Amino acid sequence: MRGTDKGYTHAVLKPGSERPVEKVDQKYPYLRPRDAATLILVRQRGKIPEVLLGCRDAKHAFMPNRYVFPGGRVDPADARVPVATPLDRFVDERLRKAATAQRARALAVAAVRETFEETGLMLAKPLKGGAPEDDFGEHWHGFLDKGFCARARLPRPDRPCGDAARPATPLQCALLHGAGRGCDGRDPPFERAG
Amino acid sequence: MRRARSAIRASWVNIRWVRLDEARELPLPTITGLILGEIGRLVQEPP
Repeated sequence: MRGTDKGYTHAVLKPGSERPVEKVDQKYPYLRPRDAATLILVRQRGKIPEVLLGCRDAKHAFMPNRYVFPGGRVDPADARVPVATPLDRFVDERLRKAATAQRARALAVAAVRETFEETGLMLAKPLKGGAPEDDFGEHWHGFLDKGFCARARLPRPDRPCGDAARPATPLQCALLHGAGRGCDGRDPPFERAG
Repeated sequence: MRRARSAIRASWVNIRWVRLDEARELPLPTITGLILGEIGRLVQEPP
């Protein structure tokens, strides 16, 4: 919970101005860090790169009213749910320096799932043989009900204008949540900047 | 029967694509600002 700035309003916030809450250790003495993952999506519009950001709700205890990349906590099912593609070897090697294979997979899959839940952008493709019969929990209903499974093959962090730009393009976004349509070249269902 | 979530998570608002230079003017966590700087560097000097 360090770094939270609950009570501050959007108007007074400045980049990098988060500050610790007083006596947070006394209020939350037993908090332990939990695995979380985020996905940084970059696309090139002309010569100007754009990043996908969202603002955390003012009711959040942690980082309210802050613009962040999509992401969130790892769910236990993230390590078990079938994926349509394996984790990119480069990304896997990087993650495996600090995590087991299962944990690395869960982190990658969690980033994809959270991106879908927060933006509606689904990085997925149909799973051979259709969606699994097993129930992997509420978090995965949006994917599995449509017969899609997450793509663990994430953008490579060393190519922000190459691979990382693609997930936002028609070729990579497999399904736009809500509209129920496949890749059609349209933007995800949220307001575009500019 | 599974039931799909019907809406984007409500706790995340104003989702949008933001130009890199404009993003730096938004209220950001420190780490996010640092990452944006790194993205800008990689864009100008690709590996």
